Amino acid sequence: MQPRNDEAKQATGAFLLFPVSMAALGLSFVIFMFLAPLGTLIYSSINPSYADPGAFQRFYSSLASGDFEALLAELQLYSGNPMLIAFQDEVLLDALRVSLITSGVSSMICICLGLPLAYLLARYDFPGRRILKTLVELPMVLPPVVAGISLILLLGPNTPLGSFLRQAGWELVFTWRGIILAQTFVASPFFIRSAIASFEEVPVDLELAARSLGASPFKVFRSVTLPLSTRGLAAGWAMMWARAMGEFGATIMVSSNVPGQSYTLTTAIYWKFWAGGIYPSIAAAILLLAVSSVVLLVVRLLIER
Amino acid sequence: MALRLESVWKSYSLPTPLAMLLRGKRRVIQALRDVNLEVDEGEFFVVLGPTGCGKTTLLNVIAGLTKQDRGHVFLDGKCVDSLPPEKRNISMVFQDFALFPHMTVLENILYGLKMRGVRGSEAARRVKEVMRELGLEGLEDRMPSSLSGGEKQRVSLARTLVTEPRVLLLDEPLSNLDPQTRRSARELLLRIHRNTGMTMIYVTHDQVDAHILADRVAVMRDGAIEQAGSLRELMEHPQSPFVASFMSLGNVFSGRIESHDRENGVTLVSVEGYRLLIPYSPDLQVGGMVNFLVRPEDVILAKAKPETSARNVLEATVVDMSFQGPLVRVFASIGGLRVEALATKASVEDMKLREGEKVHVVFKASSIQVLR
Repeated sequence: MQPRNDEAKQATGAFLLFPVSMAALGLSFVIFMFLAPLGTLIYSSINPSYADPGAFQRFYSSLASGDFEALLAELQLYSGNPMLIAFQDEVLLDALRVSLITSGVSSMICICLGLPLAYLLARYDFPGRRILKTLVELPMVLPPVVAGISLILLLGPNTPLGSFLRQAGWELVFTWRGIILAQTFVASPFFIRSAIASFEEVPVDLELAARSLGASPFKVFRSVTLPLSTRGLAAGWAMMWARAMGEFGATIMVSSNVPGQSYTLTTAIYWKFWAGGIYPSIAAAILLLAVSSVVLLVVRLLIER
Repeated sequence: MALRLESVWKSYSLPTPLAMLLRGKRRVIQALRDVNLEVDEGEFFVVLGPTGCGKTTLLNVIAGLTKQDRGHVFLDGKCVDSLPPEKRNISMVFQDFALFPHMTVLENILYGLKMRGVRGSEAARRVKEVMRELGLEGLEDRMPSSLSGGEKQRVSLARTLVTEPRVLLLDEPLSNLDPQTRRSARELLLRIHRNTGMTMIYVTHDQVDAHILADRVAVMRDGAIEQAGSLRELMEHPQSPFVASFMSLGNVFSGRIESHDRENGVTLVSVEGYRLLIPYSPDLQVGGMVNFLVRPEDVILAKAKPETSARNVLEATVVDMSFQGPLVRVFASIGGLRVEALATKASVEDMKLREGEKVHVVFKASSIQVLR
């Protein structure tokens, strides 16, 4: 073999080795971490017996023993599509309603209060800026259960602030308001981080130019900064909303788990799992997955338009 | 007088990450030191200085985009320190043009008018006029990203001119253009200045801009104004070694004062071991240091040791020659000294001067300018 060819071969090998190995690692990550679990969830919603290997046996034993009532229940359980069942289940629909309202409100709170904070952190240098920036990101690494405990300690019915608020008719913890607080606490970093990054991407020169052309700081924000960071803000909002929608750890602590009041889709999955095993919770899970995916997809399409 | 700056100081403190974490310590940068400046009505004032000398900070303070630590800014005799930028009626053209990328050319130009409440037919008339003046017709609906450098520059100029500012600030507006466009942009600026009579302050590190555009020039260094005056004043009477070397006026030497010879009106100075004679002046202290300027056009080159009354005669070696039309710039070295001389092409050819050859460098004491 001629050395020149050998070198060329080696070079090609080295050239291909890197992208191929990267692609292999990346693909296997995507497959095992996302596609496999989510695919199984979707598959079991179409073919529910997958989640319940004993179904076949139960079906035959009830047929053999002549227990027609059990047979009928068994048939009913597996004849329907969980997606359709979910949309007929009043409790789940109530939970969806509560989830949508609370996550909507908490994402609005996040925009109203988080946007000014993000702008402050992106544009101004002040003592304690780094500390504040870290503090804002803290909920991302904090276990949500800890957030739940903190909220109960601060606002629970037997605490000073909590009992004062209760006398004023503003019970926060163990109502839907508590859920909003929990979601805001846990999900806000997703919006604020993204908002800081998108504000920082707007060149300061553009704002200065606008000022020198006669625009007040508020007008500069509205006519220059905001339009130029819309995409990042929308993406951050979508992430935050999806996180709030899927918030469980803090929510389960501060909600009273009364259906229709403070019973979110995530807590519904949990209670259904404890009450009836894996099968009833599939419907709730698939509902959550569907709603969140649709919203994320719509936001993505709007951003990239 | 359109604009006056009175003893303006400004410093920035930059946080250094590690030091911040440990003690909250900050690195302080003095951007402006005791800047006093007067710009007359309708003047084209050029601020010249190297990168990082505080020129942009100076403009930002004038525009109100940065608040000075000390000192005052007066516009038409009124102190504007407390006025925000949008109320000063001073517009600025930025180095990277700073066009709003999400607006069309027309929207960019209309922006200032909209913010200042000029609407309807008056706004339309002004925009049309400015766009015609700057040759921007037909570009109304284009987005800034699709424009060439020259077009962007003209749009950014149009955007400020249309608001008819009291003072127009220009922060190195030509530095991002190719040489061809830069030349035509200079002419455009001159024409606009002539037509509008607007007071303009132009900041640059490029001497050529100053030569072509300036009514008056200020040279800045490390946040302070070294010298201000007409270009001719600066060229003929530079007051500091920095001004002399930044304006490329010639050889700036620094030496120790050895003795005075009052009779002949000269002072003996030792520069890197060589003794040179400079004009006598009573404020030169023996033992102290002095800077002085020897202009290339005052340096005479000769092959043989010349019979001359000039007593600064040094034997040097030619290290480099640069031919510029009828003139030749000759660089010669004498030990550690480097002298630049300007000779005619004819005389260089007569002497058969070549790199590496010996040559006598001659300059009169009286032609030397003592700098501060």
